[in-house]
Amino acid sequence: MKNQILFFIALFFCGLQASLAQTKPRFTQVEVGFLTGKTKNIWEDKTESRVNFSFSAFHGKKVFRNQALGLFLGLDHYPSVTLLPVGLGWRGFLGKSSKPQFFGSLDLGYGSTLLEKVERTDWSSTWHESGLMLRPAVGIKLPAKKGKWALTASIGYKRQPSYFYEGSHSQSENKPKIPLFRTKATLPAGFSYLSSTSILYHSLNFQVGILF
Amino acid sequence: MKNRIKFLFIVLFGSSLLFSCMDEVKSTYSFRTMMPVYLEMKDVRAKLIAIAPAQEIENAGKIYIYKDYLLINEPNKGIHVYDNKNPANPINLSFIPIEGNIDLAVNSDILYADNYVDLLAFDLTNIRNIRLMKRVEDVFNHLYQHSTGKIITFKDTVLTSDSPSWAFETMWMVRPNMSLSSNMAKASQSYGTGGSMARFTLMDGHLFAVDASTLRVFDVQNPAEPKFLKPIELGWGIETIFPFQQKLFIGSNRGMHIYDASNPSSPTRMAVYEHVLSCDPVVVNEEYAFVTLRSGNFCANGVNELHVLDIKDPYQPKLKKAYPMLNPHGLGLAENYLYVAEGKYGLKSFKINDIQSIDKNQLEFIQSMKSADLIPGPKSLIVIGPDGVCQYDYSNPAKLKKLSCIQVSNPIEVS
Repeated sequence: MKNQILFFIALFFCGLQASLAQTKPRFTQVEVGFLTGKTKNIWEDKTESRVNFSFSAFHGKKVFRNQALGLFLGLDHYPSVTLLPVGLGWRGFLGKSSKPQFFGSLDLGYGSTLLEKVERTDWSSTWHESGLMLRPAVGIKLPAKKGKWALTASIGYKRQPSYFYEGSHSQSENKPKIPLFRTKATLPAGFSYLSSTSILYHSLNFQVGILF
Repeated sequence: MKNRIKFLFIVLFGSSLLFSCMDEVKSTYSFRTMMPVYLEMKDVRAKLIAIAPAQEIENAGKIYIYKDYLLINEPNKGIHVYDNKNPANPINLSFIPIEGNIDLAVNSDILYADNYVDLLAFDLTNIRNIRLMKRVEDVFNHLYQHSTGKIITFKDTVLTSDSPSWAFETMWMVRPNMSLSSNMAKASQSYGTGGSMARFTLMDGHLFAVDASTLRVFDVQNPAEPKFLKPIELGWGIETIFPFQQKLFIGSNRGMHIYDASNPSSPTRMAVYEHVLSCDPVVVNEEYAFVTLRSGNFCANGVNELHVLDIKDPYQPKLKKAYPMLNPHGLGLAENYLYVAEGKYGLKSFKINDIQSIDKNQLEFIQSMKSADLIPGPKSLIVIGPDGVCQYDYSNPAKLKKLSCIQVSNPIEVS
């Protein structure tokens, strides 16, 4: 299943690349950075700071003179879960592209939990789910003196939920289905017990990258 | 310009370190449990029982074949009445709403059904005008909670808390599938006259009802005036009852009890065949009793077998042969043929002329036919399983032919 999803994401990006190749200009922005926030340790009932690694790759095409739309794929490594957000992004630039520019960006997508394992025994299951990811940001773009690439730096806010489930099966012989997406049911069919820990990550996100 | 950009860069970087947002962390703990529901019988009795229009089946409980009709219990809610003149097209006629009902039996056009602690008698002479004739009060009084005089029933409930300890501190941290009431409810699902997993049965003008530990005897020689005669303690783990030739064969999770009912008002124990802890319905012919033992649910023991007992001397039942099975649930006998519901594995039919080689005389094993119980009826073989209540033409036991299926919105799960 995971391989299939990865395959379709890759196919989607390749398709986009092919279609954009015919309608220049297009660009790619690759960024790394960190997410900072404060989180509550529910076991010790205290607040802890966190600094987490973040990566994202955006590929888009200009739809107006200074605006671009595209797709992004990211990786956010939180203390208890690693999420792969994927979705649509917008970039808007101020000023001439040959000079330093301010830009704004908005990424909207879904945080995939493909990298997290689903643990299953006859009697229990544990798994992660995620949900809607949102990242508005502002930044600057510094073009290189030679070539068509530029350095970027941005600061933004990232909202990203994560859910962790631990469930006991009603019957050991029949393992219940794990919901593919976020379950709304307090107790999905086939479970006799389910603990759910939801963390809505609110992070300041600082990223630097290159645009080409 | 360069200085402004440097300044902005430093401000952005610095602010990301200095300011940070607070995550929202929330935990919830949900569990399924059996919540007690307390009821006053006077409130239950005050309600008028009016026959309702046909309703869809949510959960199929015990099934009873009466003339050309099928009576299908909806556990704790009532009884669906189907016209089954044509088994290929059963017609839903009406619904008899009876709270707390899990069992039924019919004698001379009189339907007997439990209503929590009471036994009700309905007149079925005119199936389109079913009438309540008699209520025998306080007979299944094991449901009474003695300290309050109220009856206690259990409702399958999902509770959610934000405290991890709360679920374990309260007394209701009960796995519903392991609880006694669930086991009884499961036992009340499916089954029927001719079904091996019945809990009400009729013989010689008497109605016999078993609960988890007690056999209750009613005199129904005057069908419209049932009289409660006596309770007989059997010991715990009673599951099914099967009448045959003035004897009662009672399946428990520890063995099979044989009772002499030649004096039906006062059955006496003839023998108990004990074996390992398992779930086990029973069917019987003149010479042999067929008992299935299976693992699963309350009676987990890892044994899945068909036992054939010689009961020519009912005081000394002897094990003639044990056959390995996959996960046998209910079973049914029709002449020289035995049908075994193998849970999720399917349904098997055997010829049983030679009880020493039943396994070699397997006629058919339909793996697609998941089944929990079956009833060999006069017109069709009724199979209860995940597909609902299905009927098969079994005139050729080696080749069952599907006739119809009554859909059930929460069909029985088989494991």
